[in-house]
Amino acid sequence: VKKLLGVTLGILTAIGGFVDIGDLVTNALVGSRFGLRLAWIVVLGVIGICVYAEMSGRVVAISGRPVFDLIRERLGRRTGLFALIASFLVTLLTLIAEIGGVALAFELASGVNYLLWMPLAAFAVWLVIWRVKFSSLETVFGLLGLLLIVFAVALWKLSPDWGQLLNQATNPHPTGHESWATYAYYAIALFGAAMTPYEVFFFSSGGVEEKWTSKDLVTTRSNVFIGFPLGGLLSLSIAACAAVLYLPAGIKVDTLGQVTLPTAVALGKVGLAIVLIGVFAATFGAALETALSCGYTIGQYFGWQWGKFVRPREASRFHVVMMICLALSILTLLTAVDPVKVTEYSVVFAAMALPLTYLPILIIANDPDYMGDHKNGAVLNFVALIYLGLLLVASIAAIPLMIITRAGQ
Amino acid sequence: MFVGAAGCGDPDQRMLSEGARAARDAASEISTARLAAQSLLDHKLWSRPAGQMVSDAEKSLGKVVSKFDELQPETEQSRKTYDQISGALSDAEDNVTELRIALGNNDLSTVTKQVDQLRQTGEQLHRLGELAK
Repeated sequence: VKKLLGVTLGILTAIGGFVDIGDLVTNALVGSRFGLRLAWIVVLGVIGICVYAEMSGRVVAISGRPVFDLIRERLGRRTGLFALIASFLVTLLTLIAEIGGVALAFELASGVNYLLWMPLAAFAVWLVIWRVKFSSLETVFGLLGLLLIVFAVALWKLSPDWGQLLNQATNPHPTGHESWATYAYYAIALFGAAMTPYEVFFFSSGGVEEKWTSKDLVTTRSNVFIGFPLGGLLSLSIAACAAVLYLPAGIKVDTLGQVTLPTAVALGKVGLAIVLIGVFAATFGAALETALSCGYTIGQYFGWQWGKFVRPREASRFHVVMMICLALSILTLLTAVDPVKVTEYSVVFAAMALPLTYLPILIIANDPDYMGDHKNGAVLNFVALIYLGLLLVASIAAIPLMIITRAGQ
Repeated sequence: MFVGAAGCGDPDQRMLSEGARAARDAASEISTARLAAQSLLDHKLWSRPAGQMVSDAEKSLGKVVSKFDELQPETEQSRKTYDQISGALSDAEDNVTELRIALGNNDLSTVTKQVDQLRQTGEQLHRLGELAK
């Protein structure tokens, strides 16, 4: 019973932790402009993150070593450094977006400018990382993130024409004033939002923190294969709410307020209160995960002592990296750059950097010296290689599409 | 792509294209402000989030207006289009500012009037938005 409870808690945490500022903004934006015509990308992205996270989790559980330590050892310092720089910069950009998201949620609730909330949000992230146990912070914010199920309830209350939504989902092409170029650009953005690399670094590094072994493979796989797809359904409900309320009205989502408004229209003040707590939990939880991931990647690559399983004094460089990243986030946001725009760019850059972090894990997951009998099977390799191709296409097409569409305008 | 390429060469078409795009963007902000204000009137939203959403719409609308105002009409026809769109955008901006002020003062009767006004302004902008792709 205890094990079953543990598995259930892990799945619930994975669902709640799946959605972050990138998913919130990108899904609402895409829903408002294309309806559910890009829903297939969410499905594709969720399958991709499942494949990616399962491999990373298995690598950690079997080898007992962190991912970036293995990447450096298996692929050499120079190639490893390339992967490190790409993934670190994308994770840092995501951290900036998440801190901005926390501040925007407070601005929406209080009317006080987000620039005033932002240093407090960054300080709170540091304090929680410093003081709170790994398992507690993962569970509490993951479970609070489940409040975003309010989007699914709001969708039901909005009484949509389900046939029309299904029709949109099964007709994957742009409509109205949208072009194929913007459609493709937002397809890449959605793909990047669903497969953000930090989710995998956090998940696999958490495996080292929690000392996973081959006995934990069932638990990790259930978290991935049940939790992530259910998290994907949350993403789809956000897009569907925007599709129902905004697409017919010609509203394009470009603020966090617009992301949350459908819950107020459907459920009133209670709906808005719940969604604001959910948004706070999702963005704050993701800010913790991205800050930790910044420290994890650098600490693991350079072979420093890292993680929350040791005292901060013993992993001082790991904590200093996180503090520097939080300070950089504050400085970037103080330039008054729009956090929603940062989010939009972060998911596209995430898609661009994904092959650099995905390929090394695929190579290690196929190496019998590290994995023994647990190396990738033929079917998994077939799927994993298809995804490698998709990631390469998305990565190569991202910048040209960003230029052609003027970042999706 | 062809329409876009044609828009690059012909100043009248380019102005029409940019104007229609600006009108659609402005209509989006107008509809957001109206929806937020209507939700407040329906007691579905507190005044602070409603005010914040309207304020965000006002800022975004300001960016749309200033971006369009920077355009240079090169022909008589494009000047006509410029004036038409510019006038509609300016009205829209004024309406949202009025709404924001009314919300800040908790003046619900003015909010109700502005919601009706925004509906008309939004319809006008939607029509202008359909002038070109």
